[in-house]
Amino acid sequence: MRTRIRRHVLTGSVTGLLVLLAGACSSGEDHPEAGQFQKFVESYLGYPIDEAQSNGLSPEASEILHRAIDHGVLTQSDVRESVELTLACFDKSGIPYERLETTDFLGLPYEEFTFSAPAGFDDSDHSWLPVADACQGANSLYVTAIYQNQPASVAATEEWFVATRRDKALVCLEDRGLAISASDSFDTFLQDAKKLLDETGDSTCLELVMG
Amino acid sequence: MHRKNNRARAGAIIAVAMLGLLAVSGAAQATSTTSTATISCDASSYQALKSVSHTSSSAMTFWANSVNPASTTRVTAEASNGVWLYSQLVNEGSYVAWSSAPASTYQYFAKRSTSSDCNGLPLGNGNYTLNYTIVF
Repeated sequence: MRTRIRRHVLTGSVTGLLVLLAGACSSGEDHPEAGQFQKFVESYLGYPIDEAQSNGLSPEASEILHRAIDHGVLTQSDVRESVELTLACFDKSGIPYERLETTDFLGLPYEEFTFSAPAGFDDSDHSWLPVADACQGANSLYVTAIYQNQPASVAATEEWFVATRRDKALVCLEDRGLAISASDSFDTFLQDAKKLLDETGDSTCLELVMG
Repeated sequence: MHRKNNRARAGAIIAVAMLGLLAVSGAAQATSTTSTATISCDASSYQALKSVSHTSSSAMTFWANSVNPASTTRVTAEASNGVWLYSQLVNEGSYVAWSSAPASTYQYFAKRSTSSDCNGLPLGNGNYTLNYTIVF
């Protein structure tokens, strides 16, 4: 997720995954892997999806997750919807916020946000923070995490990495003596580049890997 | 007066030279810090972690290197001007990123995502240890 990623010409498979994540899969028909995706969602939540509301998720966020389970994937549109819910909750609670336009790990438009203390609170007074926490926890916290880590996003990231940055990252790591192969996964590149930064202070390869 | 002018001119020359150096070298490179925290399994309040000065153009990332016992950590950070980054969940071996975090000094905070009994004892939920790296 970086601000300076630019769109590139994509391979067909990457385009397919992008279309899926961007929300084109909205036929309303159940996805054949819905059961697997439900397990993935529930592993993140830590409880069955039917208990989402009793565990603090808003009815709207719960509906987003139910819909995603039906389709077998969370879309970027789902994430945007959940963030809107959080910001609406901030509005109700008088918590000022700012939207920050950026791009996600696939170069697609993405919206981050920051927030600050409501009027009347000093910066050192964090007593309002649980309210902001509750707004995010009920609406966008889990949707965002599941979106970023779902199998479709992991696969799309892998494809995007190969199509746009893998070769430069490979040269960078090899030049610094790391034993890495073009066939290694994005995660291997990422972990090796981070290890290099931790051990030598050299962030060049990590910045190449992450885009 | 003349001395003041010379001093102002020298200051301007130094400022231009520093801008030139920045232009040649590019934006500041990312750096990292690693530490270990003991965090309550109550998930009730945030614990302060390390503070970092974010000046690079890269995303800020928070890595959960190792976690014991297994826990999902909720992470956020407060800039020195009182602005907070939205909170994110991170699992062991993974990371979360804030792409558009403005340059500032950030105080990081973490808590367990949900309350859980980490020690199996009748009293209290105990703690978990989080070894983490912040790349900034």
